[in-house]
Amino acid sequence: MLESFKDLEGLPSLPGQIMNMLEESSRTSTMDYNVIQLIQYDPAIALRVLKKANSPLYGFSGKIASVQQALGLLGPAAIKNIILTTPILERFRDFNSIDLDIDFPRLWRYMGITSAIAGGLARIRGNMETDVCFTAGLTHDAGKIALAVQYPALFQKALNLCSEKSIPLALAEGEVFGFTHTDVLVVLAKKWKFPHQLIHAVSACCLTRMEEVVYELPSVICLAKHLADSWGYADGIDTHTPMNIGKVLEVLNISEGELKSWEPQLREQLDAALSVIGE
Amino acid sequence: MDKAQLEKLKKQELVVVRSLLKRQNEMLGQSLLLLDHLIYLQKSINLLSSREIFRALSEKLPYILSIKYFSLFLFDKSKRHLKLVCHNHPDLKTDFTIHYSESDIMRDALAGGRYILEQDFSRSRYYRGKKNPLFQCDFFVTLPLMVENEIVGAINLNDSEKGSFDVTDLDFALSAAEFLSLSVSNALLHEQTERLSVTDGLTGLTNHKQMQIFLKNELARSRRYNAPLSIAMLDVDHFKKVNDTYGHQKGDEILMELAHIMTRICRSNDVAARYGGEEFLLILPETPLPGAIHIVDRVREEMASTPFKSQGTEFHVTVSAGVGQYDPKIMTGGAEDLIKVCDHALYQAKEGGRNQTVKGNPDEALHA
Repeated sequence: MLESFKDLEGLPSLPGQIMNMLEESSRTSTMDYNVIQLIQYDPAIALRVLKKANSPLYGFSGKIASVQQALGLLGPAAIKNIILTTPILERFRDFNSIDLDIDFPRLWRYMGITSAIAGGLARIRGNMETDVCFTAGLTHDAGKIALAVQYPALFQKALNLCSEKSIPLALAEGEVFGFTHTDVLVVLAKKWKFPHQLIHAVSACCLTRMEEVVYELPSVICLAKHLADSWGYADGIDTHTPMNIGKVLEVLNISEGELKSWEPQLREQLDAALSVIGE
Repeated sequence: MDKAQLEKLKKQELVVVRSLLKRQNEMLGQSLLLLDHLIYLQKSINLLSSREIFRALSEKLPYILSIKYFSLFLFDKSKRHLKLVCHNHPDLKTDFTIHYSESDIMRDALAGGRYILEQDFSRSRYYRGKKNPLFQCDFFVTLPLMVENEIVGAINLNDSEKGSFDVTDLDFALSAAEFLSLSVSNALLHEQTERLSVTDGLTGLTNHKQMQIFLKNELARSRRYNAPLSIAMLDVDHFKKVNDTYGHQKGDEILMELAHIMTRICRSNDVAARYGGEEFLLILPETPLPGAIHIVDRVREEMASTPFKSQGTEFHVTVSAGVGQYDPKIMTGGAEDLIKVCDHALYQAKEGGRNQTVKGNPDEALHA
């Protein structure tokens, strides 16, 4: 079943998101700041942008690790075509026969906020590639969208299991599918020739694997997820996954006091993201 | 969320999805149309002759780019000149050349390697207060034509039926400009290569190989229409001595000057060629012997009166010439016989004291 995701050309995005981007991209010719802002908070379109930038067409296969680099490489015409050809995710039509218990706009907002916080953490801590952290934060949970789109009934089963047994979503997915949403994203990222560092970051930040988190980049994503959750922007899906915050801070060499002192700056990042994504 | 709220949400999303689908459909249609235009443009200008490319552009470019007027200038890097090679303006003369500093807008576009789009002609710093009565719209666009940072030229776009030039138009024009730059650049390179393969590198005259082809064709034409055809062979007098005295650079200068004089005096159908070393050949179609002698004498006299200078010394150089008219009855060997007659006459001119033109004698030359 995991192999079937290799046939996926890309993920759909929410109609309102696509509409906003189309309107913005029609307004100016040069790479417009508003379009960049919108794309960098949309996981589905960001993945499409990364896929295109890492395709052999541009000669940078396996080298473009951030959506910001990808946007710079592709140029406005290619970006517009990506937006234009992104399929629409219709919550009430695509899943009409299945009572899929996912609030997609909330999931989108959560991923956007995680990316903003991850980018902010990387910038404040220093010695990290801010844009790569941002991109990993945005895309690390996109496997959930893929599972919901490809196997909605089974995904709902996993969600139910997660809720009934109060277990992490990844464990529930494992029971139902035999793999997790992270595994799905890794399959897609490899097929779309994403750079190794990005694949590693998204695969290593699955919260159930916290004991394995010994690298800085996945730790930044985990911390960003934790902050997004604790500030009231959880995705509403994965509510039972434990977080070994002490381990993450240790890997990042940050004290709890330091993290507390960074909060005002991180909140600014959050507000900036919310001004684009919407509350 | 209760049932009513859910229904409301469903309806709201339906409205957004419908509107989005309509917009996507419209934009995809537009994209396909532009793609179609781009392919059509590429097919139209995929040519090796710049003249043919410019002809195709004059006819099709306004339609392809949805504009009314355009002008295309080629950039001469060495002279920093911009030459108008193609346009569809009713009142603009063709083939005019300006120094690139004379057009602020093209200078800026070329120097910056970027497009210039101004929505209001009269308010822009380039044409403040000016108005071209030809244009209904106020916008103007200048796109640099470049291939790998090498400037090929610039293209100016004005006026459109729809009354504006928007972002999509600009994106498309930029893509079209890339195709255009490459096609024009390829054609110019091809023409240059072709020209170099048939011309003499020093003098710019037709080279020996190409001269043979021209001569063969002219002989055939002369036989076909019974038209007079003469040729002349010219040789710089005491060229070795000139070289030894004033140096090879001066020798080259003398050869170039003689080539220049020959080109100037020759008529459009005549062919001036470098035969080899300091020897030159003139092919003079539709010209009987007296006419040929007249032309050659003019070359000879002008050359003799041209002063050359070297280290403060002024000196003059003369040429000798042998002229012959093609007679198919006698010259059965064709070009070879005709050249032999002229060569013999040239020998006689040298023997006779140089700086003179000698009429060829086929009987003597071919039976010697």
